[in-house]
Amino acid sequence: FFGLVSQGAEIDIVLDGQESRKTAELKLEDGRKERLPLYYDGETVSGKVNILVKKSGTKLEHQGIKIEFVGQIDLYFDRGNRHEFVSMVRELARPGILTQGVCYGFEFVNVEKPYESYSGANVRLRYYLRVTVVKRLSDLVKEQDICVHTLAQYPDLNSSIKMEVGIEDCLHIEFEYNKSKYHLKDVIVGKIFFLLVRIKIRHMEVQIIRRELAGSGPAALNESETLAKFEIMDGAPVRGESIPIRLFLSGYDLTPSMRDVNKKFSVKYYLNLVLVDEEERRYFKQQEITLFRRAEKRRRPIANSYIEQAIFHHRTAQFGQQQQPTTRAQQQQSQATPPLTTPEDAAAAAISPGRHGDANNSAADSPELESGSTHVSPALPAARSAPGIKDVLGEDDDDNY
Amino acid sequence: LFWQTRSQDMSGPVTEDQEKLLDEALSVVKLQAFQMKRCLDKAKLMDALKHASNMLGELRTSLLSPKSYYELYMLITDEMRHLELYLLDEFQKGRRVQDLYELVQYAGNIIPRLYLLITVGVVYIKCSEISRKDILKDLVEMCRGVQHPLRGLFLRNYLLQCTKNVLPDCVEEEQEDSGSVSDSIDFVLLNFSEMNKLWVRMQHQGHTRERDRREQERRELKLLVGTNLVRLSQLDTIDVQRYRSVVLPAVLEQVVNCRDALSQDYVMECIIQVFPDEYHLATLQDFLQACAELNPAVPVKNILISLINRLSAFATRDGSNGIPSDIPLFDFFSEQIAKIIENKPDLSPEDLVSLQAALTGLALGVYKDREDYVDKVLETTNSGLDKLGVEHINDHSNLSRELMKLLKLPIDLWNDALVLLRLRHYSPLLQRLDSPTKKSVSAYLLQNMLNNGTLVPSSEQVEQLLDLVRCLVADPGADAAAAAADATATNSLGGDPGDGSANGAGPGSEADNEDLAEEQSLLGRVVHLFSTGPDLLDEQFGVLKTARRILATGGGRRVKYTLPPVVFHSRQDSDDKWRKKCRKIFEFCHSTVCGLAKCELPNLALRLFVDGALVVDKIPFDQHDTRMTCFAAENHEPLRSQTVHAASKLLRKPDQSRAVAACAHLFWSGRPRELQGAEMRDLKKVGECLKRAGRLASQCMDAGLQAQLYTELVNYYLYFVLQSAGQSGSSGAACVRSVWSVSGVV
Repeated sequence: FFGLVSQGAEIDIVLDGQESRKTAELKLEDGRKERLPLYYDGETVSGKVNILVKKSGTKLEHQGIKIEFVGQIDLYFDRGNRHEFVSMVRELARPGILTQGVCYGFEFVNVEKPYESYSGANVRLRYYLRVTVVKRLSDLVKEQDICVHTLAQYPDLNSSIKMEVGIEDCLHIEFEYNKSKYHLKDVIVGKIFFLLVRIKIRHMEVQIIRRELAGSGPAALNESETLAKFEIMDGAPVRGESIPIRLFLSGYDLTPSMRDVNKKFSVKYYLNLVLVDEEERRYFKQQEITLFRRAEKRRRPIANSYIEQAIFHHRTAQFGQQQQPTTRAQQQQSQATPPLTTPEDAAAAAISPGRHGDANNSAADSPELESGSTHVSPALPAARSAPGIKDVLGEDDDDNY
Repeated sequence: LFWQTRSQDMSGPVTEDQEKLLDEALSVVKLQAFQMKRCLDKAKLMDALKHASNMLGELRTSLLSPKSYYELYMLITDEMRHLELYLLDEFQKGRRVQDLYELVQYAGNIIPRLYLLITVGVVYIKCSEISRKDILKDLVEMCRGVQHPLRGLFLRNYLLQCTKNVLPDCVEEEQEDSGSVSDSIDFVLLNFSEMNKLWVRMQHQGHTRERDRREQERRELKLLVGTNLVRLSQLDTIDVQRYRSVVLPAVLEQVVNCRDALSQDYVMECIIQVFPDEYHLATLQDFLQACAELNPAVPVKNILISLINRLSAFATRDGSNGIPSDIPLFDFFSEQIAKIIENKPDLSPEDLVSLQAALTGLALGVYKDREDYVDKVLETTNSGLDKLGVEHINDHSNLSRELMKLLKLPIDLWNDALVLLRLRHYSPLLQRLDSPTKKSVSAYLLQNMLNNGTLVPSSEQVEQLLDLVRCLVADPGADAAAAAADATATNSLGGDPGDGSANGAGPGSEADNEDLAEEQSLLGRVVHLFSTGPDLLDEQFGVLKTARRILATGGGRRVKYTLPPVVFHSRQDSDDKWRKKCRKIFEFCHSTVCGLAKCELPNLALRLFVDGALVVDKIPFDQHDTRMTCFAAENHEPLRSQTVHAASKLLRKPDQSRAVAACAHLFWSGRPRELQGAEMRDLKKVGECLKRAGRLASQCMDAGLQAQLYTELVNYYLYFVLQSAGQSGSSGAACVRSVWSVSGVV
């Protein structure tokens, strides 16, 4: 009966300032969302551990009580393998016998939390506190998750993304996003400029795609998820038309981009510009963007500040409009202007063609070519079903969807 | 607003489909609207926005025809007003919802997003004007995202409708932050050009075989585009200067560049209609320049005509200052029209003429005293038609109608045919018309003269006038003959005017005759206007001479109507001061009447002779000599015999008989000069007359009538017998014998 009695203890972890601490939502493994107390890198994690003996008068014998602070990466497909990148221990009590409830204080001073909490399709990065009451047979364990956000400075260099893409003699567009790095509450402002339109476009949207690469080497798992679909154009434009983009990121559940976290996983974000024609063919072009978390700033109290902000961005997006559409098109046709993109860019711009089902990655056949920058594309066959091109584009297709 | 009736061009099943689709959409809208309002009542704004977004989602459809889409749009925008009012109320109570402008932009679909954005943006503007300028600019820019013509047009219409009363309307200096009128102009102009592009693009969608239907649909939507211009015209701060330097150039640039005939036609017309006349005057050159650059398919003439008419009306309107003298309005238009004609080799003649008609209207309306302008227009028209190789203008053709309109304009506006006569190019143009139209115009002119009592005071003018309306004066075929007649008629005053004309008259149909009768009566009435006035009686005679000479060329069917007035008119002139010429006048009358008689119009001639006699009778006694001179034996004799001759040509035998019998009196009671006022009592002639009458009576078929005629004859005989009883026995006996013989017959 000892065993039964010995189980009768309750462990409770109370973090300092828990009531006033900000919380953040994090998805659990089973898909539910939970609000967790929020910490930042270098912040002290302190609090109290309460151990309650359930029935007064009973005794709880233990081999010692400790609390750990753990930062850990779980790869779902590799259950047995947990990668702890942070692990700190504080001893709370030496072996002894508890006869009544006790309270231990603990403190992990300025603890390093190098990565952001993350919960994805195949991988999870979590921080938690674990109290262990060591016993002879089975330990009493209590875990408390916390959420960690990593803050980044506004990048010094944040150039816009600007590119000319198209399909030879069919569709030439130039798109532009005002930055390449956005913070999570940022606004993506941009525009699409149509240089040549010979297909009947039905609508155009911008998607935010998260691509998660978990594991490494040949066993690595790649997972793409479309987080946002934002229609930016309805109907068929004509040559010379310029379509504005303004996408508020705060409406979506995003995380900062993560590169090679502890050599275990990466999370990348892409803006996918998709044009759908009247025959449901989809033409798209993905561009990676970097997302980062900016320290929360107090909003200016002026009511219209966000409008100003939005419009400011909007104006930025209009700067290219001074050019006459016709001249642009003529330049385009004459091929007289040098490519706007660098060679690497041009290579990257070899656009993905493909017919895709709707949101759920039901990738169908992908007969459509999106050529690279029009300036390099002449070498590519223009025919829609050219097999060579399919090959070139096939991998993109799989990756994306 | 535009679809008052269901359009008929849709076939049955299509209409049914449309109704079904529309009903489905409407019921979704009603449901969502209901839920939205319920959420608003409970102050659940976010839920309300969600329902609003669902409701607006119905506008994403591609299945509805413009008409059905319009119905859907109307219902939805009506419901959106609830949301707007709620937000306004909340905002004014100080409960401003944070970030609402951003929040509505999270909507994934662009159509609901933009409708919501507009609604919220306008609420912001209404509550505080601080960022009005920026919001307006933002809204109109963001609408670029909708490139589908129908949906885009309605979205932008919603934008225009919502911002109706919030556009800044003040000059720059006053309000720096909340925007000025130039921001409003930019806003509306951008919206206008985008809408116009969408509207034009509509034409190029779908199958070519549905072109007509699409064009019809586009017409139904044109008001959406025009509303932009209306909005501009409602901005008070747009003065002439701003209109000329900013507004108009932008509108024209858009219109010219779109190259779409329907759009150009409508927008140009719209410009004319919505902006004030003063503005048009100030920008005439620009506007006309743009007209010359329009698509050849655009009926430019309608635009110009519309503009000209407006300016003409403006110039003549009460209280207006008229056209400023520094604007050579007429020169502008005439140059421009010349340019258009030059640039458009395929311009139809009727368009050419109607353009010129408008120009004429302008010249007449604005420059009433500038006959040369009108003449110039007519000249241009004439040469224009020459260039187009128009030789024959068919009746009932459009060209004929237009030309008629053109020709009637100066008549109406001047109300003075004499001015018309001074125009060198009026007549040639008139003569181009086909006969019936020509006649109608001529008759119109004459009628106008009659209505205005336009006197024609000189023989040259009479000549010109009659030349102008020569289609009424003579048959076109008889031109040559008429010319010949002219020549002979001018030789001598007493020349026989009937010479060349008697053969000109052919029998026409009854309708023709009626028309003819009408025309010629008109002409006849106009003769009374050939008057020099009381001070220039000397010339009056010359005038009438001319008139007769020309009218006489008209042939028998005409002179019947036209010459009598000449006669009457000339007799009215028999004035005291003029006795020396009285003889001449009567001779003139006589020869005229003789001419008539020769044209187989004995009845008329007879009446005129009798009337002439009456006139002579009325002339005061001291003129008796003159009178006698007039009807001297040599004149009197033929007069009498002519009368008999005429009498015997009456149509019906009984009439002939009675008339001839009556003529017997001529030979009895006439008082030739040689008898010094005594009655001539020429028994022999009297007897002849009566005998002839008897003969005529005997040919009468109706026995009763015949008996009556004989009875009357007996009466005549008895009268003459009694009259002659006291004079000479022998002749009296002869008479008695005759009486008996007649009685025997009876």
